[in-house]
Amino acid sequence: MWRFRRLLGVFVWRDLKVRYKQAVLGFLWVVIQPLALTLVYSIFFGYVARIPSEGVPYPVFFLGGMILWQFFNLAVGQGSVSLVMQQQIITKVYFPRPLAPLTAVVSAFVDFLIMFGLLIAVELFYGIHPTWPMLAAPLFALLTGLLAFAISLWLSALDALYRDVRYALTFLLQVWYFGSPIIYPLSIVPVRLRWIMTLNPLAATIQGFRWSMLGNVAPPPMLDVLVAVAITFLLLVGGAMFFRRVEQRVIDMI
Amino acid sequence: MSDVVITVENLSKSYTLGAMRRGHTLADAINEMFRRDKNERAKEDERRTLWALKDVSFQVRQGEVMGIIGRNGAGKSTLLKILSRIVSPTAGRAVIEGRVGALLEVGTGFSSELTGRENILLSGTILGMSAAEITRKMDEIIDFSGIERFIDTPVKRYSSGMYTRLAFAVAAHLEPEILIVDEVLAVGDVEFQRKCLGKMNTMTKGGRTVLFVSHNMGAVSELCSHAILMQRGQVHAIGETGDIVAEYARLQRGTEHGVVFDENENLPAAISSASVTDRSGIVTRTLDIADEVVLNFSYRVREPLEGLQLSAVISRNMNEIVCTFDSDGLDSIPFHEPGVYRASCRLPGMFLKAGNYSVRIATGTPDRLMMEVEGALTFDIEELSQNTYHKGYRKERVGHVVAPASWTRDRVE
Repeated sequence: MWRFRRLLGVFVWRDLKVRYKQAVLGFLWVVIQPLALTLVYSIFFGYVARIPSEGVPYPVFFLGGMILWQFFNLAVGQGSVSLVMQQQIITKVYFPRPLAPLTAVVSAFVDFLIMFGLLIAVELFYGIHPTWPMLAAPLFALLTGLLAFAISLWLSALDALYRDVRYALTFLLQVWYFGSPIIYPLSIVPVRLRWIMTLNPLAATIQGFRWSMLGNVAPPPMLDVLVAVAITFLLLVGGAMFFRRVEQRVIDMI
Repeated sequence: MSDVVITVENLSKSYTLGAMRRGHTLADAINEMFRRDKNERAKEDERRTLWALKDVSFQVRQGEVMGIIGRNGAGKSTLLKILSRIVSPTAGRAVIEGRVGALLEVGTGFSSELTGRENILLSGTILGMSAAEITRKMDEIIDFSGIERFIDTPVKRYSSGMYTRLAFAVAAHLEPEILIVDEVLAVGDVEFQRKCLGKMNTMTKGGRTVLFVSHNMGAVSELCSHAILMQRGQVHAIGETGDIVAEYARLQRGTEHGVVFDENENLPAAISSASVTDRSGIVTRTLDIADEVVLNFSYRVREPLEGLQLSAVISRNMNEIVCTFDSDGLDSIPFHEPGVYRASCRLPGMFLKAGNYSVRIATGTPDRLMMEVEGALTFDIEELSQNTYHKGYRKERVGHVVAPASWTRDRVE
């Protein structure tokens, strides 16, 4: 098992290396992208559309939710095509196959850590100082990572069998983005649509992450958090079982 | 020394034919599901099932160097993939005791954006080396590859030769207890191949258990003490390499009977049959590279003919014409009385390279072509007795013949 932990490390290292290799600014893009997005969204949604932001400046509010989403988005996007991407290796060498989607999640997490540093810098710039709830932030990041891994387990296997997955995924992620409280706060969601937020595990994690990071943002409803944990757990167990079941068929067919 | 480290019991593996095309998109799969009832589907599946391996059993002892030979599609690669855990069997089991290093392809896990040095780390880890091991051997690996100058350049800028050298250099420094190798030596330039073969030799001498799949009987003979002959997914024979290679050659023989042509009474002369035999006259399809190839003809002449000739045009691998042999060199038959004749054309050993050959045969006089048959005879030449890995005339190199030449070399400065 030790060997495979090391292999995971090397896979992640390769992922990061390749991702930023031929970009002059390299790793700086991890910071530039969210900054540019924050600028654009702040102008249109914060300044023009005046979307409320739970008492914190809109740029901080947006960035606080968006980096978690970026982590999820990148992890799922890369994770669900990981088996097909790695087919060269998979058909020539043995290693536990879940390592492929896991690599995508972990390397997305490295990006997230950098963005996390950026968030703290921006907060300090706006005079927001970290408080005790910040200690809970890793838990929400972990939950997001687990959810991304669970979904990647399902989708990477499905994608290897049916390439339809990758085409549908782009659209699905788009919908999910707008269906999560990233641009807007949880508080402006109409009561009759609240159930969507309860069923969307990302809503609770994003709200929780903001609560822990941004000071006076309200914590997510306990029910939402429990539902998010339950859904993640179910997807993870189901995903692991599904992956195991079709793994061999994938290798034969890939 | 006699402990069994690999036990294979009743191993079978089936693939569903057409699975690659069918049900490739979700819509297809759903269609498939509703289209036919279960019974019909089961029958269809049966028809589309290919047994790549069927009921294979054998054991390999500690320190044994086992060759696996057989024609294409005999199941060799599937067997290796199961042994290296990449593919799981449909039935039966394979038990392996010890750390396995599988080398099914050179450059496994190479990433084109990364530099040579980075790829050594990556590929080494994927193949199962520890970080300490790689660090320790880094210089040795770079040295072995012979491309020190480019080691910090991304491999996407490498020539294919450099790529292969680096890839093999990593592989050659693997030190598993059991090594599984699939025909990886068939690449690279002459000098480098010699180096690789030397490395393989020391590896095998060092008491390591090795499974080695190859088409090159010469290399198998040189490296392996024992061999398994696979045929149509089954073990045909197991034993000492010499016996197995002989059995392999025997298996290829006697499957051909030559060709017989219909009589045509309108032609003044026609070939009635032709065959390929070895030097002793046994009709065969597969010949060793060192064997004589004999083309035999029998033909009927119906009226007196001046200057009747036979000709054989030999082409290799379906397209390239290698050479033409005309019988006009035979001064003894310048004139034919009516009758039945036999003629043969002997091609020396160590002349045609390994490959698939086909022969166009023809007969006629200088002013009339009487009969011509494209691809009338076919035969294969294999490197059974010669280890050609480090020779310029090995199968994979360009060119068609094993021509004698001598090199001289002087230092001028």
